[in-house]
Amino acid sequence: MTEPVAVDQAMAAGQPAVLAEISEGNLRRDAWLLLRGKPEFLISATLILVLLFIAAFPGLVASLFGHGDPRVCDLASSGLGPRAGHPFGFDLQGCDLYANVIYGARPSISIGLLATSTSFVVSAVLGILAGYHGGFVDAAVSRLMDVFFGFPFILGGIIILTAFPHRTVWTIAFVLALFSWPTGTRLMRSSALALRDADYVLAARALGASSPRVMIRHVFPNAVAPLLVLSTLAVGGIIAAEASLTFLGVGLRLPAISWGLQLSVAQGYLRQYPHMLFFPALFLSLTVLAFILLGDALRDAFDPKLR
Amino acid sequence: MGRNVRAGGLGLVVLIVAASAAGASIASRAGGAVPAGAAARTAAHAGGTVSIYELEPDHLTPQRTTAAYDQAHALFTPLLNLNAKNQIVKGMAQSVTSSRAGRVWTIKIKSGWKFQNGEPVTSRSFVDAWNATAYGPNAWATNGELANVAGYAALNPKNTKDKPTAKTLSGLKIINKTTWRVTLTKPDSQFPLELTGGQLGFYPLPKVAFKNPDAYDLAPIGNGPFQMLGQWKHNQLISVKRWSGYKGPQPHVDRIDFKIYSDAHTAYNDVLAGNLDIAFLSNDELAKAGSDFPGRVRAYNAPEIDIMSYPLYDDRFKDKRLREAISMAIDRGAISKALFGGLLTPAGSWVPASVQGGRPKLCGELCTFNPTKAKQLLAAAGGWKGTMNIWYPTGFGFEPLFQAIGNQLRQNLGIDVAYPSPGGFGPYFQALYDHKVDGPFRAHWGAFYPSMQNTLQALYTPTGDGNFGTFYSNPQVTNLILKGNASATLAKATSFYQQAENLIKDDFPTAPLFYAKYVYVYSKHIKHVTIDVNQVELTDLQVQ
Repeated sequence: MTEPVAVDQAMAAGQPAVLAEISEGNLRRDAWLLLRGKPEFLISATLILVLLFIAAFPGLVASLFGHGDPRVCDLASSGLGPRAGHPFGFDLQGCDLYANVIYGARPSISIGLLATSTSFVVSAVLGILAGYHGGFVDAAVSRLMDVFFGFPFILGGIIILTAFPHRTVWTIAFVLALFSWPTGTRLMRSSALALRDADYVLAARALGASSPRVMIRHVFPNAVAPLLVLSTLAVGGIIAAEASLTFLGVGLRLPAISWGLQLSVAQGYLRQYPHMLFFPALFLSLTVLAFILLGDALRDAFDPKLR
Repeated sequence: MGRNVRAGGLGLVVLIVAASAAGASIASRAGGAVPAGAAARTAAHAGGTVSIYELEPDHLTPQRTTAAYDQAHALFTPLLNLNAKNQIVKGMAQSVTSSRAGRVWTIKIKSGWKFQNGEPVTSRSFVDAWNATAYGPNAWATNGELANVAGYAALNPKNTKDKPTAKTLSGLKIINKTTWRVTLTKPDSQFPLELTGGQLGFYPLPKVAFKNPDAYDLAPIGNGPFQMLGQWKHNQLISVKRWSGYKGPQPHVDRIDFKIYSDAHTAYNDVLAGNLDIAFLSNDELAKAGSDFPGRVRAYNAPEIDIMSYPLYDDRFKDKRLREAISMAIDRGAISKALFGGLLTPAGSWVPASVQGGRPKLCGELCTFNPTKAKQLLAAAGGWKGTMNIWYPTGFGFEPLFQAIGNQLRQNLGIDVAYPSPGGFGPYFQALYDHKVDGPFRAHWGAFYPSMQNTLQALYTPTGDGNFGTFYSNPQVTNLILKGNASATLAKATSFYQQAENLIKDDFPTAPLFYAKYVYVYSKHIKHVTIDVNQVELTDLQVQ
């Protein structure tokens, strides 16, 4: 956390203009202190760290039980349940289900993070521009947002993804970001709008700071917290959306390994091979839950009204 | 036009198979109620209603449809039929005789039969219907079935914008009320088989069908055991009831509801729940059917075959050894056991084994799993560079099969695979027409009549309806098939067809995968479910 330092420096410099930011800085330090002691934060953060590790080094984790290659398959083992060396059993193709579930973490988490960070950047830039500048820029951005709000999220994803003949992690992240930026932008816009006439912003402008400088140095740091919380919450939603789209056949495609694909195969064999559905579903739910819990904890910490 | 017909034909066949699956083995395992058609027919009429899963058809008029087979069999009686042993039995026909070495055929029908509106069924009912079917601008789906009748070319100009120079087939000549003569362009020893129930283009139509074809299409009047009960309710229901005026064997049930579903899995679950009586199965349901419906699975060895074809226009697939290596790297038995509940029989020939003259062991070691030999052949062919794309239409339950094949190619030949399918049948066929397919691809042929001729001619001659599923041509093969068609006897014809198939084996343009089957499951509510070349034998069905 670098903000408290910045605030200290600002205090040392004795600029009255940033006094309003001091409380903001304290808010962040308070938030951190509050978070550290919260079990829901600790659990979700640990879970996310583990999942990130899995996504980064799937081979290492997959080989824990001695059969780490998700692409070594023997049809003779098709649908067999959990057993020694194969803690999750086998999938329909006779591949080790544990290795497949572990390898499935990477595309899901990559898409979640990619789509959310893309939409975070877009939201931050457009939201500040619209909120701070107002006028024509605001009108243009707002109308564009209205257009995208008009599309139901999943339906829009299906329509656009169908047009992509070769769907990869990148294209899916792009499409999901395309439909998730307006919410963040609206939030950022309203924050920027509220800060536009804050004392310290007016002071900075009075001192001759340029618009970009004011936006980057003064508006952004103070308006970003809600967006950060929203984005963290959104990661879970994006991961679930990716699995849904893949399940519906418009997301990732074979021979990719993904939870959505695994669920899509497993649903047809629920009565015969329930474990094929259970394990990917468990990992998917845990991942979504972890990001939502983290977002929740962040929101509680950053929103003084909820304290 | 030609293209539409072809697409329709292959698509249809696929749907049928998706819809259904092997009679002998299953029925005997199920034990008990294997209905002998004759025995069932002598039983007293018992009544009741049976419901059957159908897809929304394109048309109900037999000559116009690529989907409404069950409905056509309910509403109409064809000239000839096939029994459970694929032997020809009489329907409307009294006799079908040939002269001039199979070029001229004289057909005589039984007298006294009527359509359900009272109109007598005469030679004109057939000749008018055939002329309308053959008339190109009508664009009726079964148009191609009449292509060998003399005069067909005059009704179907090469350029579809040109006007045909005739309205009727010169090869059809009415002799009297019950007799007419058919002259063919080329001799065809298999003609009687073509007149059996699967070829809807040879069905009769009453006069009312030509007055207002679109109204007729919603509630066809036929000469069959059932008549329409109300109109076709699009995407919901087509109901038929027993017709007491029918001259053939009376059905047992009073009513059949063809319930229309858009999703095969919903229909499957509805049979499981008792809301539906009969459903055909898609490939991805075969593995679980046995445990979900103990003793209530019926499968029929259809004259159909699943093959893996190669883009022969692509230089990388020119080497026969590569094509053989891929074939030998596929463990068909393990796939059938794991994915199809053992219901599909690994194919060992290019013509379905269930037809007369079919030889299930012809392919021999080239269709037998042998990873060592496969690797050697691949090395001898110069190996494979890069990713191999495997193509199939998505969304019809073929995914597990081709994923399994891909896994085996990767593990046994070290080839990385991808599945770049462009979508369902429409885009998939388009990619084939456009030669965009650049790797092994799924092909399937279902014969509407159990003769070697049908499969060979369609897939392995350059003008065949299914040639875009193989891209194969060999003048010697074509020649042998023509010789078979011109043979005086079925046995002689078969020997020529077999010689043609031998040459195909030597060229190895495609890898046979499975003999397809029609597989059905049914509810506890009904009995005497017979599945044969006509799919469900509607007149055999009985309510428990």
